[in-house]
Amino acid sequence: MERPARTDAAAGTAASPDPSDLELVERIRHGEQAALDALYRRYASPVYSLVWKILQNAEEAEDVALDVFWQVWRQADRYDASRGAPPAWIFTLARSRAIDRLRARSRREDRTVSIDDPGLNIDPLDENASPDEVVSFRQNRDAVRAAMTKLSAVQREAVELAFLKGMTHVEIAEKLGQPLGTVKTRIRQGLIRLRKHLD
Amino acid sequence: MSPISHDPLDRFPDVVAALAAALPSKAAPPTLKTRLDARLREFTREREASFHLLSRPADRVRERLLAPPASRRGGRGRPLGRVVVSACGREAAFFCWYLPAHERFSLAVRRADGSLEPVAAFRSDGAGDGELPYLRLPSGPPLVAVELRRESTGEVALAARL
Repeated sequence: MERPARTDAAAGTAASPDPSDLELVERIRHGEQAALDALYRRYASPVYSLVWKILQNAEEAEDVALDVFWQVWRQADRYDASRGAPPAWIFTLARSRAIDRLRARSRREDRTVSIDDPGLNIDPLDENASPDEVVSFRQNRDAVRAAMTKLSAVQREAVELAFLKGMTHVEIAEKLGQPLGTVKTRIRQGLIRLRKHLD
Repeated sequence: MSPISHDPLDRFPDVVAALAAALPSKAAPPTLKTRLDARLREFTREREASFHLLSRPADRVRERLLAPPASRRGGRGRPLGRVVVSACGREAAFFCWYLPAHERFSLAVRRADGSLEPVAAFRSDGAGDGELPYLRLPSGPPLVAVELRRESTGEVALAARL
């Protein structure tokens, strides 16, 4: 994708004061750097948090987060709204890239992972976060935590291994000492249950 | 290690987003934005450099394209050529006059690394004129010159630095 950068005026679009994620992606698709800046302000910390959580390494997390936003800039025309809202696209990109990096490492630490590991809660929120963002973050976090409690312990562990360590069904089955079919069923049912409660 | 395509969450991007957004937040380091901005500036600079190379004013391009090899210059009826590059720098139109009639010519561009890449061929009409009104220029490393050759002999009829 080759696109020259354009300003708002050149793009011929009237930028709304609080554009939706979808609008920002559409403007990025037209080469508007201001839209990328807005999306960055909105998602830089969540994306960085996710890749940091997966990689546990600040330098690698920064590299991966940079590549994620660069990919958003260069490949905005590949965004497919039928596969989910822009955050789903961005976080999927981030998670995939972080897991790719993790797999590229020769070493793979066998850490216990958890969605709400209190030891990682170093920065409660980005210091630039608005009150609305703080409220939204807390509501979402509480909703996810509540949804996670609906899963069985095995389901929860399997989902966390898949989400944060990028493990495949086979790897999770080996790690948990469970039959592959059982693991596949548990993860799928767990994810469906999560989706239902998050809706 | 199995490939990521076997990712159990592959069909659950909405759940991925919800889980990611619920993670304890870590502020992105300031250097992340600095590096992203630098990459954007470099991207813009490269695009503009390419644009300026191929979208010079038509007159200046024509002056450069009019020159046949030094040994064949002079006299009336010498080959003439003109190229007009589109504003986006991706397409060009070639018009030539006073070429040998009913002969095939090939047009090639030379890249900065010295390689020569054929881009088109045409047959001059009865008056020796030839044209390529729509020609897509190849992408890749910068183009530094264009050459028009007689296919029968390989002789360069017109050449110019871009």
